[in-house]
Amino acid sequence: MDKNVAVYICRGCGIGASIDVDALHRVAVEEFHVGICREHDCLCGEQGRELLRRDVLAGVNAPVIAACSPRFMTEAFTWDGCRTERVNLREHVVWSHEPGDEDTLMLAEDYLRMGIVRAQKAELPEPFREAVDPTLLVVGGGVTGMSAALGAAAAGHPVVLVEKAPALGGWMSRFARQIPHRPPWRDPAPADVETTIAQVKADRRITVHTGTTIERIAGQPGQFDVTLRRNGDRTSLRAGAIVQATGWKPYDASRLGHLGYGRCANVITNVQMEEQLATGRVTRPSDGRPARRIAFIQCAGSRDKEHLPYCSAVCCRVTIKQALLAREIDAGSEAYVLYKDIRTPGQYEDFYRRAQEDPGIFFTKADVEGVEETGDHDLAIAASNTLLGERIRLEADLVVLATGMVPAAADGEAIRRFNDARSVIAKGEAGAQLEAAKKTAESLQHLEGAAILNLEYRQGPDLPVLRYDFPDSHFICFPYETRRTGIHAAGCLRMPADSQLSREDGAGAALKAIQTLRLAARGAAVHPRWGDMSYPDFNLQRCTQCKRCTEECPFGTLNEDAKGTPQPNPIRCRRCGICMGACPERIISFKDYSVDMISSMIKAVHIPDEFEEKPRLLGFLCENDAYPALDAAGLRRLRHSANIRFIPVRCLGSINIVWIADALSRGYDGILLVGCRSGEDYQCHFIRGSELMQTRSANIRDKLKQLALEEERVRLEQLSIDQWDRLPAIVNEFADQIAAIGMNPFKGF
Amino acid sequence: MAGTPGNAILVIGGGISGITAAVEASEAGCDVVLVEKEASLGGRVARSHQYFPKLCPPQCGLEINLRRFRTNPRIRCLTLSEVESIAGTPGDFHVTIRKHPRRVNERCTVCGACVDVCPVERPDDFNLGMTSTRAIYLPWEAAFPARFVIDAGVCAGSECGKCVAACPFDAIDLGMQPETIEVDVQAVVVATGWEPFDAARIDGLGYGTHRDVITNVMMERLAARNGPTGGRLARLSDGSPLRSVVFVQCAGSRDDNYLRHCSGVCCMASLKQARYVREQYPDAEIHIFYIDLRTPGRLEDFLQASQADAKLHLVKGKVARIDRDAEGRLLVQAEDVAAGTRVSQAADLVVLATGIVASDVSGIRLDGGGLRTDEHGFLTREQPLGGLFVAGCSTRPTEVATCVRDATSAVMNALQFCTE
Amino acid sequence: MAEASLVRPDRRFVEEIIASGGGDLKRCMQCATCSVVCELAGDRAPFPRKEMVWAQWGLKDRLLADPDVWLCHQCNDCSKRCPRGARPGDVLAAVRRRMVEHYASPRFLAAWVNRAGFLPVAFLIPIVLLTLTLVARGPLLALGFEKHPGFYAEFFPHWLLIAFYAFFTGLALIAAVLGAARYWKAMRAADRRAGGGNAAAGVPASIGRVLRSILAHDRFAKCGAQRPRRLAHLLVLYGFLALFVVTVWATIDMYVNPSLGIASRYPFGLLHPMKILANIGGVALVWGVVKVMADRRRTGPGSATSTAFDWIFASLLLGVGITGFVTEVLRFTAGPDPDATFTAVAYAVYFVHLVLVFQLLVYLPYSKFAHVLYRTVAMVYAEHTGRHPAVAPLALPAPARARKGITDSSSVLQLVAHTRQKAATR
Repeated sequence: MDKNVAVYICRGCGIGASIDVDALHRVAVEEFHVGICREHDCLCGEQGRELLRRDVLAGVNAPVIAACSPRFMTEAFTWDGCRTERVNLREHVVWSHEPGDEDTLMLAEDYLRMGIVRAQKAELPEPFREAVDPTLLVVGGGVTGMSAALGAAAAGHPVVLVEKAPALGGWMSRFARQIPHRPPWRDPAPADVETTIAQVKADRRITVHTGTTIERIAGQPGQFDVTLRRNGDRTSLRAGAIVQATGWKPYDASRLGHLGYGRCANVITNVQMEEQLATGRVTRPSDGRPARRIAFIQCAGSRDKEHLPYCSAVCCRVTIKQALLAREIDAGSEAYVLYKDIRTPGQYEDFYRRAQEDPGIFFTKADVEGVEETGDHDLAIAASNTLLGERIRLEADLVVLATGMVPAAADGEAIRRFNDARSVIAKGEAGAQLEAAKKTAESLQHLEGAAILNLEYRQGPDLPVLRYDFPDSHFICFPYETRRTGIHAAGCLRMPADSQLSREDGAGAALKAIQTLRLAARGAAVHPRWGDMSYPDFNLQRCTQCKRCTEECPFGTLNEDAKGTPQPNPIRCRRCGICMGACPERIISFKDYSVDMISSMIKAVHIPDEFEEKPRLLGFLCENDAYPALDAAGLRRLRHSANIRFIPVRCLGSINIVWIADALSRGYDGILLVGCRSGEDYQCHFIRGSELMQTRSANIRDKLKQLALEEERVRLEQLSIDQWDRLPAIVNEFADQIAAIGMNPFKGF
Repeated sequence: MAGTPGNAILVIGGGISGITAAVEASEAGCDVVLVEKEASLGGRVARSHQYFPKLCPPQCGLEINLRRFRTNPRIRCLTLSEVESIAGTPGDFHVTIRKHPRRVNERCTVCGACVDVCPVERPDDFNLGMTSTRAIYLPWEAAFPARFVIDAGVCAGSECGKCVAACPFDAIDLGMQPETIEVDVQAVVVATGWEPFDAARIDGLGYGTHRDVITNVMMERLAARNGPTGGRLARLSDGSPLRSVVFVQCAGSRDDNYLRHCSGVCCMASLKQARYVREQYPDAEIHIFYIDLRTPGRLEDFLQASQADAKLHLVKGKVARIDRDAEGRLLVQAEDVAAGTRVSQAADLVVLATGIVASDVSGIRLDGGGLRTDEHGFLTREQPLGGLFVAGCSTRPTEVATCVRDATSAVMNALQFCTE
Repeated sequence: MAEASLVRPDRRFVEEIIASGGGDLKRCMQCATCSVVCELAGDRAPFPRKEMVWAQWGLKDRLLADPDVWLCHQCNDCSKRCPRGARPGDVLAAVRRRMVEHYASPRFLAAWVNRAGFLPVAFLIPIVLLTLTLVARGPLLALGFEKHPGFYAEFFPHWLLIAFYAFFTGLALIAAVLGAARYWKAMRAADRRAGGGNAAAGVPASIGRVLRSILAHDRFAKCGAQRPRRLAHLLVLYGFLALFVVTVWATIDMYVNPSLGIASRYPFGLLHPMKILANIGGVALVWGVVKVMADRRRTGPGSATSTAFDWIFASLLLGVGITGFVTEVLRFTAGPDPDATFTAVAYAVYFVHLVLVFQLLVYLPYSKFAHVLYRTVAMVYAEHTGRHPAVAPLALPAPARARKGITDSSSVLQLVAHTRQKAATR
C-alpha cells in the first residue's frame, strides 16, 4: 500500500490567533513537499470532517491532523484503513505558550515536522492472526474454579477443569455451613457446594479431570499445549487461556506453639473445628468429652510480623459462624472470642450483632500472651490489654486458633532462579559464579517440585508473585492485570477471601481469559494497549544473543533457544516496546513504532546554531500519564518553556539509548525523560518500564562521559498524572539549568 | 440462551464499576449502552485524591479506561441520562432512557470561550459545593465526554445568551429538549454506586455548625490538586495551618440510629487521609478514634506502616460529642477505652469518616415493581429479573478493587445472554 | 504490671440481668459512646461502658462492688445515643436491683417483696402481725395501760402503735446497716485490689457533702433529658420527709412534752402548723408519685424500662399517701359519736394504711426503697475516695511547621481565588 500523506491544520481554539498558520503551511509544502495541505477554522466541525472524509475517499491514508490533543475528538479523526497522526498544536503549543511569539511558532513548526516524518515512516499495522483455541483451562476445582468454569461455559466456551484432589469442591465441601452472604445476613447458611458440583458435572461444555496435575504448558494464549498427568498416564490437549484457582492452605499451626498448639491436646485450629462441627459434635481431643467452654483466639498467626503480617479477612466471620454452630449443637456450651479487632465489613455487621445477642457468646478485645494446660488437659489463656482488665486469665475446655490463609501458589520467578542456579552448578561454571549459584540453590531449596502450572516460559514455570506470595495484580483499578497474558489467578490464591468473593473473582477471571481469546483471534492486544494491532518484529540475523529482551520483557513473552536467541510469542505480547528499548542492536521494531521512526522525528527538529541563543531540549513523555498531565496543564493555560520538544512514548522502558545519543550528537542541549512512579508502589502500566529506564540511565551517564558532556543534560523524572501543575515547573526549571550549563558543544557538527 | 440474537449490554452508572463493566463487556465483544445521570463519567473515584494503599491518583486508571472508551466504537455513552424502565425477559430487554438536555452539543471543543462571558455562578458539585463554577462549565479537566454543560437550574436562558454569542463553534443550544431513548439489550449490569451519608443528621458531632468539622469526602477534595485549595490542607474557618487533626470513625456507620452496616472502607480512608496531613504537616498531631480498625487482607500493611508514625495516635473509642471552647477550638470528646479514661482532644480540623449509602434506584421501573434492596438499602444479588446483575457499591460498601472485580464478574454472568 | 485476674464468665448472672430489665445488654460493642454522653461520669474510669462489658461477661463480683452503678440516675441519655440499642441505663438499673437483693438479709424477703407473685405473702406478714397486736390490745388495756383519747386511738392506742413500728423498723434498720456495711466493704476491697481507694476526704465530711447534694438533687439536675423527673423526685422526697417529721413531732408532743410541763396539743387541729405541714407533705408525696408513674409509663429510647421492682415501690408510696388522706378526712368528718358502720369503715381504711406503712418502712432494705440506702452509701464512698473528678481538656500541641501548609490566614475561598489567579498568571 503506497502511503499518501496529507496535512490538515486547524485554526480553531486560538491556534489561528496565536501562530502564523501560513508558516506551518510552508513547512508542510516546501520542506516536505506534501501533496495536500489544508487549513480550516474548525476541523472537528461538520464542514471540517466532510473535507477530511472527501480526501480520505480520494486516497489520503496518512492524514496529519495539526489541531488539538489526540485525547480529544478521537473518533472524528479515525477512518478505516487510515493511520491518523495527530500534532498537538492546542494543548502543547498555543494554550501553553506566548501567543504570536516566534518561539511559539518554531515549536509549532517542529511539532509539525515531527508529525509529518512519523506519518511518512509509520505503517498501518497488520494484525498477527493465527488459529485460536476457544477452550478455557481452569486449574483448581474449588468454588472459585467451578465458578470460572460455569461462567465460561455459559458464555459458550469449552472448559477443561483440572483438580488435583480426587473430587471437586475444595475446602467448602468440607465445611458444614458458611457465612451468610445474603439478607438477612444473620445466620450461618448451608455451604451448598453440592449444587455447584452438580451443575459443573451436568454441563456438557465442561470436561472435569480430578486427581490430575499439570505436567507442562507450552505455547501462547490461544495456543497453549497442555499435558495433564493422572497417576502414570498423560493426556495432551490444547487450550486458549488459563484461570488458576488453586486456592489456599491453612497457616502451619505447628509454628504457633506459644498458643499451645502441639503442646496442649485441646488446642485446635479453625479448620479442625470445621471438621468437628461437620460431625455434629464438639469434643475435647484429649478425652472425647464434649467441650462446654470454647475459647476462640483470633489472628492466630495473622497480623503478626513473626508469622503472617497480613489479615486473613475471613477469620472473624468464620469464628462467629463456628461459635453460633457450637452453641446450636450444645445449648449448654459457651464461646469466648478474644479478638484484636472484629472485622465484619458491610452488611456482615449484622452477623456480628447476631452472635453478640447470644448470651452464651462472649467477646473481648485482647492480646493473647499464651495458653497453658492446668491439669486434666484443661486450658488457661493469659491475655493482656483486654476490656476486662489489663491482664486476665481465662479457663477453657477447648481453644480454637483462628489460623490464617496462605496462598497455594508457586513463585515462578524464584523457581526460575532456582533452576538457573542448578543448571549453572550442573554446567560446572567458574568459581565465584558457582558459589553464588550454590547459595541461591540452597536458599530456594524449598521450591523443589513446587511448580503448579509448569509453564515453558523463559521467565519461570508459574505466575510471578507479589508480597506474601500472592500472584495478585499490583493495580487497584485493574485487579485482573496479569504478567502472563491469558493466564489469570483467582480466588484465595491471590487474596484471602470468603466463598462469595471467590466465586465472583472466579467469574471475573474467566471473563478476562475469554477476552484474551476473542481479541487474540483478531490479532489485537489486551489491556492496557487494548486493540493495538501492532506487534514487535525481530530481525534475528543481526541478533547477538545478549538476552536483554528475553530478560526485560515484563510479560515473559520471549523464550530462548539453546543459543539464547529470542523466540517471539506475539500473542503473549502486550506491545509496550520494552524489548525495543532494550535491544542494543536495534533489531526490534513495530510497524508504527520503531527506533528509526523516533530517531527521524528527533532529527526532523530544526536546531538553531549556538549563536541564536535558542537552546533545544528533547522530552520523552509516557503517553499514559505524563502526556495527559501536560494536556491538563494546557487546559489550565500553564506556561512551559518553548525550547522543549516532546515525543510521547508507549512506555519509558521503550526508550532506546540510541535516541539519546542521536539527540546529543544532533545538538540538543538537554533531554528530559518523564515517566511513572517505579519501585514498591509502581504505577508503570508495564510493570517495569520506568524502573528499567532508571537502570539504563546509568549507561546513559557513561555515554555522556564518552561524549565529554555534563551528566545534568539528561534528567529522569517521575510524575503521576494528577501532577499537571508540577510538569511545567519541571520543564522550566530544567530549561534554566541547561541555560546555566550552556549550549551543547556538538551543535552544528 | 433465551431471547433475541444480539450481544448488547446495558450498564447503569458511570462510576468505576460502570466504566469497568462497559469496558470489559465491549472488549469481550459486546455492544454496550452506558447510562450516567451526571454530565461526565468517573463518579466518586474522579472526586478522590488518591487510592489506598498505593496512594496513586484515580485519574491514572481513569485515563486508561477512558482511552478505551474513546477508541471503542462499541460503547455508547449516554450522560445526563436516567433509566426509566426495563421491560422484557433475560436476553430480550427493552429499556427506556430519559436524556436530559446538556444544552451544549458535539461541536464543543472545550476551548472555554463561553466561561468568561457567563454572568451566573453556581456551587461546584464536583468540589461538593466548596467552590463555584459558572452556569456553563466543564465538570473537571479530564471530563468524559470532554464537553461543557449548562446547569439549567441557574442558567438565565435565551434572554441572556451571552455564551451563545461567544461560542465560535455554534456549540450552544439553549433550546435543547429532553429526549426519550429506547434500546434493546440482552442483559443489564446495575452499578449505581453510592452517596456519602448526610453528616448533618448525626447528633453531637457539629457538622454544619462548626466549619472545621468536615467529611472524609470533603477531605479528598481538599487534598486534590484540582480541588478548592489546590491540594493545600488548612482550617476551613480561617485557612490557618493544622496543628492537630482528628478523624472520627463510624460517623453514622455501625449505628442503629443512622446506618446499621459498616461502611467497609472508612478505616483505610482515614489512615490514608492521615498521610495527606502528614505529607504537608510533619509535626501535626493526628488522632483516629475508632471502634474496630478494619484493614482486611494485605491492607493490613498500610495500618502497620501507619503505626510507625509517632504522632499518629490510634485510639479505641467512639467520638460521642464535639464541643467548642471559648477560643473556638474544637474539643473532641471520647473515651480512650484501652486506658479507661475520657479524653477531650483539641483539634484544628475534624474529619468525619461518614459512611456509604447506596444510591436511590427507586426511579428504575421493572416489570412488576422495582429493583430489590436489602434492609440496608443495598441491591440484593438476586433480582426479580434474571439477566440483571448488580456490581460495586450499589450492592455492598466496598473499595475500588472489589468494585472492579464485581463489575467484571457481573459482565461474565451477563455474557451468557449474549450471542456472538 | 497488675496481677492477672481470673475471669469466670457467669451466664446465669447475665441472664438474671437480662431478666431484670437489661434485655439488650449483649448488643454492646464497647464503643464507649455511653461513657462520654453521661453527665455524671467522671474522666477516670467513667461509667457505664465498663459496667456493660462486666455485665456481658457476668462478672458479678465486680458489679456488686462497683459504686458507679448507684451514681447513675438513669436519665438514659446513654440509651438514647447507644449505636447498638444496648440501653446501658436500663442495664445499670437491672444491676442495682440485683445488688439490693444480693445485700439484703434475709435474702428471701427481697424475693418476696419485689416479685409480683410473692406479694400476697409480703402483705400477709403485716396483716397477721397487726391483727395479733390488736388482739393483744384488750388484755394490755386491762393491765391498766393508759387509754389515749382520739378517734383512731380508740381503735389502736398510740403507745401500742409506736411500740409496734419502733420494734419492726428497728429490725429493718439493722438489716439496712448490715447491707450497707457489706457493700462498703466490697467496694473498698475491690479498690484495694486495684491498688486504689485511698481516702480523699473524711467520711463525716463526705456524708455532709452528699446529704447537701441529695437535698439539692444537683446530680439529678445534671441528667439533661430528665428535668421533669427531678421535680417529681424532689416532691416525693420532701413530701416523705415532711410526713416523717410530723410523725416524730407527734410522738414527742404526746410523750415528751407533758413530762416537760408542756401540754400535749395532740390530736392536732386542722390549722395546727404541724397538721398544715403534714397535709402539704401528703399532697407533695402523692403528686410526686403520680408524676413519677406517668413518667415511667412513657416509652421510647430516652425513657427508662420499668419492672415490678419499680412499680411495686411506686404504688406503695401512692397507697400510703392516699389511705393517709382518707383516714384524715374520715377523722375530721366523724362527729362526737359516729355510728358503728362509719367507724368500721374508718378503722378498716386506717388498718390498710397501717399495713402499707409497714410495707414501706419495714421492707425498706428489700424493696426499691433501698436506693436511699445504697445510693447514699455509694455517693459517700465516691466522695470519700475522690472518685470521678473532672480533668482539663488536653492542650493543643505547639504550633507545627507547615511544609506545604498555608502560612497566611486567608479563608479557603480566598485560597481558591489565590489558586485560580496563580493559574492565570502563569
